[in-house]
Amino acid sequence: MYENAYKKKPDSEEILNALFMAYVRIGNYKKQQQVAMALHKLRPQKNPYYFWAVMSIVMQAYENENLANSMFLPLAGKMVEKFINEGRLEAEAEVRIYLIILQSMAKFEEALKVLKGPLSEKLVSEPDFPSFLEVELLTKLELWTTVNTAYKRLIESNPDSWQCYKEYLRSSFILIDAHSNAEEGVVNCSDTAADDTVERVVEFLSTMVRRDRDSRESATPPQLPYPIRGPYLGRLELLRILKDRNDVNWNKVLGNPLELICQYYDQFGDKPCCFSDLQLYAALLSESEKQQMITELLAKLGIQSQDGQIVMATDIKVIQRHILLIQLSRYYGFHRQMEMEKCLSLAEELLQRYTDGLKFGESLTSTDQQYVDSYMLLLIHLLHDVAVSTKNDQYIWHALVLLEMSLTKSPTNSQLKLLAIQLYAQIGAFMPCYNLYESLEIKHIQHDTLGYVVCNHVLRLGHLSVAHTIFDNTLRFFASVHKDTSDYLISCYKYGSFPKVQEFVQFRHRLQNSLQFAICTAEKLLLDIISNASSHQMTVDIINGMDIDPMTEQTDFKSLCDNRDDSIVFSCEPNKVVDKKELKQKSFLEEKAWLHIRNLTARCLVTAVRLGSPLAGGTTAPESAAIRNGSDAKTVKLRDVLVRLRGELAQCLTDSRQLNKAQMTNDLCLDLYRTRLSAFMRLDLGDRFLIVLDLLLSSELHQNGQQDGQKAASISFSPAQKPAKSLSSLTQENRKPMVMVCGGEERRQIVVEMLENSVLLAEHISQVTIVLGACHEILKPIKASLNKKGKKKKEMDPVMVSVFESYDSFLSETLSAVADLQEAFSEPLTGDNLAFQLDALKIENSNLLFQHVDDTLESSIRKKVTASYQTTAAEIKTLLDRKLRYLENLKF
Amino acid sequence: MTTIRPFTCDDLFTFNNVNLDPLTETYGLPFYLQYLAHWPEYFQAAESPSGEIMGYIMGKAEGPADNWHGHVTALTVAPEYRRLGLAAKLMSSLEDISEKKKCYFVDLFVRVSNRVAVDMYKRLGYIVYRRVLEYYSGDVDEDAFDMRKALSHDTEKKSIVPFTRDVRPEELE
Repeated sequence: MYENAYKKKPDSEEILNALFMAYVRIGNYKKQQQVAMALHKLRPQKNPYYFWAVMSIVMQAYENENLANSMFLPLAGKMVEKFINEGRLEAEAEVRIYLIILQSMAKFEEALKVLKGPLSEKLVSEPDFPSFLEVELLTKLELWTTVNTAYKRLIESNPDSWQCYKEYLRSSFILIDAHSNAEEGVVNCSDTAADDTVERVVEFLSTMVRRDRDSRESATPPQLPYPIRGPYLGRLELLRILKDRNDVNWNKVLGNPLELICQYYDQFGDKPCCFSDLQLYAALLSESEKQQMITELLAKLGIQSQDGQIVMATDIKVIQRHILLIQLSRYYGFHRQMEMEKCLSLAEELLQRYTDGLKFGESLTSTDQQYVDSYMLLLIHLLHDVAVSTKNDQYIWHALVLLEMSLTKSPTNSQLKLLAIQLYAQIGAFMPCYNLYESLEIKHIQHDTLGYVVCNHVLRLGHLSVAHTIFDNTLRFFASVHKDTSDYLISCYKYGSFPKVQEFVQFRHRLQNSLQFAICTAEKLLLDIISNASSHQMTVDIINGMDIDPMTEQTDFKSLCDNRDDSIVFSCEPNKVVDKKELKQKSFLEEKAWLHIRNLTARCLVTAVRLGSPLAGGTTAPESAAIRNGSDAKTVKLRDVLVRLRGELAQCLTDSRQLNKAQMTNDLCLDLYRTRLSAFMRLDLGDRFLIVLDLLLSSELHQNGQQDGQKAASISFSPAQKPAKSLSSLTQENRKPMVMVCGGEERRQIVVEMLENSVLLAEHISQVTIVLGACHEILKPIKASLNKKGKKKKEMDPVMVSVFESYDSFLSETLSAVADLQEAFSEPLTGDNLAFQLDALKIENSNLLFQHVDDTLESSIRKKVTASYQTTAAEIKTLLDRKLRYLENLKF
Repeated sequence: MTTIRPFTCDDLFTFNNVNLDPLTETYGLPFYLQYLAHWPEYFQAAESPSGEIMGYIMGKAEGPADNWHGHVTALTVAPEYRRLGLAAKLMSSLEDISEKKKCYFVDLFVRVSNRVAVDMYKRLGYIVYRRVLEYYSGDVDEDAFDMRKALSHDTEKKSIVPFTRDVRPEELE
């Protein structure tokens, strides 16, 4: 549009401006550059236009790595230099872009010259920027002695800057290594200020520690109310590096590591961040030192039990220290080694301290967290440990009661809520999860990063209408991503924030290729296809209303980005047990595999329906548009599409079976819950779906055969094997009560598997129903013509007979599966029955931990959980009712 | 121990431990992107040694003539990193930038009920310039304090002579 306007009025600044912005929106950097140059020619006195062109060239360099260094970057560089030489450089942004170009071309020395030269006077908006960029450039140039002294200076002026310590230590060790490599005598770094021996590093860090102490002791009033962690953590970091390098003296250069850590505890133990600091340095201590440290420090706190009586803390600082020690001992793995009895007695102690400590938080407002909430988190983990080791869900139930109690004291603590969400999900009650999730006020980009907290549970537990809401909310956020990012990409040019241009482009890429986005799109599509239809005509209408091309895969699996933020749950789980990075990687693979199956299933369903109703599908299927030979050619083509998709799905199932062997475990510290892949595989639902697709394909083939004289299929495939267990045996097995008594009267287990399997089966049945509907469409005319011919059945093609037979057996098997599932959901999930079952989760125990529980609180939880189970049942029953009517109409 | 560095788009993916705090609002993308595009130097994050975002500050410079000033739009620190002086550090970096930009003063709005924050700003040298009635909408609307601190450019400290009366949000320029 603007292109046309430009042709009409080539000298309008306004139109050119709009045209430039339009190219920014679509990311056409080449055109951007041309328009910007046209603008520059029009208004040569306006510098920004010229630099828009420069930035557009830089973006072309990022896009095309091959030409970046040979063409784009040198060109951009020359353009800027031309302006510098003419003395026409005006703004800070213009210097920044020059620095970007020089760095991209690895011309670090030139960039340094800019920083030292007159142009640097324009760099005013970020006070620290020049000095930090300078050391960065020195680092790139590997001028280690200069880098080292530069970082020392930076540390002296910013004694709490972690970045500086890290880089300082890195450069020191590079110098140390250079020394030892150079052997004797050859000392090529004459700069005496650089720290090129371990002794000098120790000396420097000790000076920093002394300086911090002096500044707090001598100054009156103290200049800094808070001690600085930097120098102390710097020392621990040094030890960590030495130990990793297997330096024999690592534990001597600064004295005993245990003592250093204890010193750190003395100084910062009452800060909540101390745990994450010390967590980094757990490896500095041996197992016995860890034990010794915890024991000694606990004793030093002076609040241990005496004569069976717990001594309560007298202020919150002591509480915070105590919490830290318990967190550390959990992180060190000591809790995992404890017997059940010890776990429970520690949990009880923590509960008492929690209850007592509430008194310190009486004046807190409702948006504050209680000082003692961390006790609660720890004790819930302990109860969970016990639940896992004893396989007794009574402990989970009890943990939930305690959590709900603590949420009344600390109504906005997100950690308590996240833990409660996990526990409710574990017992299969989705409604409470969702309510807690909503209370976290998740919105906008958090739909992408935190949606996973509920997303894998909502369908697993069959809350279909909430699922719709979640998907819609998420997709609404993504719908505006392109517009939002483009608008501000334009602003970057307008305000000359050139360093942000590429950042915004990458950001947009990450959002558009988000895993969560792809999942929600796929799941919503599947849900839309299966949920409402109670007749095949309805399904046909629904699919015709969708703008879908089953030929193409919507997800670009190679570019998929895992934007899930799994760092929100505070965790003290030992690294040995849970490697979060590895788990996230695993989970990502599993999500991708499951997503692939879901995408293919949806595409198969769409194609199947169109194959069954050639006329109805004709208008929206893009592939048919290209073929003008009439419906016959199109049908053949759709068949090929389905055969191909079927093959892809079969392959995908084979791959997933491999992956599934390395299944995810679910530890409480991790919110990344498994997908439904494992249950799906266990029930062989993929193969079952393939079989019914095969039925459709052979019906269609023989229909064609009858019409066109045995025309062979264009693509052949090997039919899927029938799974060992029949569908009806699966649905039969699934009829269980929700709460089971196991191992005598000892243990209670909530049979969440029952819910999950039923939901999957119901979903599978719905998909099968649709494919059967498509078969029915194809077989109907054949059946009718057969009926016309009367009783001359002997003339019927024997293959056709078997097609009709398997169709009938499929139909009746599906119908009886529906009936079984309906029943599975009826009896055990009625209100009275459930209440009775859930009552059995109460623990009758004289232990203090299990007393003091508010009965009304517990019964309100029971109500919530009951209602949630019943919602699952009701939603699935409605779905099945519709499919029952659907199937009844498919009988011949 | 902290690394103060410019806030980047990618931080929007990981700032949840800070934003799950009930008093920290999560805004729509345009809001953050606007600040990043227009005032990138005013948007700083503090990062912990383990790589977590401890807190961040968002701000801008605006206003005509002698009303040219730095504004703090959002300042937040995750619960576990409070009482380490982090907010003060982030504020002082914003003030430094505003000095360089020759601003006359820095201002901010804060809920009148947020005692901890109001006290902290007072310790950092801010005064209550005026009260803005029903500035925060919610179940119950809440007033805001408009707090200010003069910078060296405002030699006569004219910007911090308290306003004589309370104002309504629509009166703010």
